[in-house]
Amino acid sequence: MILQTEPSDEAELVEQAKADTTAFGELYQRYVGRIYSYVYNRTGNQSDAEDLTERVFVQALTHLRGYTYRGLPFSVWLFRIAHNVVANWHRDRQRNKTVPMDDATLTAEMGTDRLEMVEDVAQLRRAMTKLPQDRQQLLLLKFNEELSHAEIGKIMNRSEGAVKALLHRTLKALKHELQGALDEGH
Amino acid sequence: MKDISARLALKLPFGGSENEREAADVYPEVVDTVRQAYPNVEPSRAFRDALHARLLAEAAWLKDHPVETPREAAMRRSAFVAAALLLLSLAALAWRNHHTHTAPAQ
Repeated sequence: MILQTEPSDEAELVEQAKADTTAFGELYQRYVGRIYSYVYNRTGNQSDAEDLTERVFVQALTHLRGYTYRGLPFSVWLFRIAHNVVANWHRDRQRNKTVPMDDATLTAEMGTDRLEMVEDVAQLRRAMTKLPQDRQQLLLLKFNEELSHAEIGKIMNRSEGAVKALLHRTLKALKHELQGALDEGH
Repeated sequence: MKDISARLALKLPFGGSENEREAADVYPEVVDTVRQAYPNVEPSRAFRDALHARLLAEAAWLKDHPVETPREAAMRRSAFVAAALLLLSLAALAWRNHHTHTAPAQ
């Protein structure tokens, strides 16, 4: 059922999937890892991450015929769907927390020789969870997914300039949170 | 003991200039810390396979029952409105002609 041939060009692959939805499997295999990881980092647990990832791909498949390339990569379109699905999930649950993974898990993942980094990571995560959801999302899209300001703008329905300004405010707020933690420590 | 908050916070110096707005690109240590805080997580093989199977089933169903795109829906609505307006115009024209021809002579 998956494509027999493997077109290197993503746009071509999308067109094939639009003509024959059963070819969507190839696109799914290509992006499921990135989308799942993004959703997992926004929800913090496997169960919700799997549920939301499923919603993202079912929505993408259902609305695939409405997608037109026009310079917007398919991955960015998928992230936009994921962004909306996760935002709705947070709205439904009325909670403002992400990533309940405990520090012990991280420590185990990283090894004891990187304790300093683990401490930084824990500190940063505490500070990040105090930021509004859209700002947390912005940091993940920018730093983890390495998307451009223009691409993030398409996902978050903002202009490129607005994304830059939001990133600036977000990093400033992050610094403020970190300094707040520093003051509390003294 | 090294103060973590201070160390991280110092990596984010801001004043507000255009260059500093690009700070994210300038302070790789912070970027690296964010990546460590939110590491790449792979879905389980069982989940991948199960979702793949579901998507293939959905795709097969959609092949027989294609969903209307927003553009197609808009075009369908436009065609419906245009047809309704045409019918109304014809009805109005017929009504006027009928009354013109059946009006009593002065």
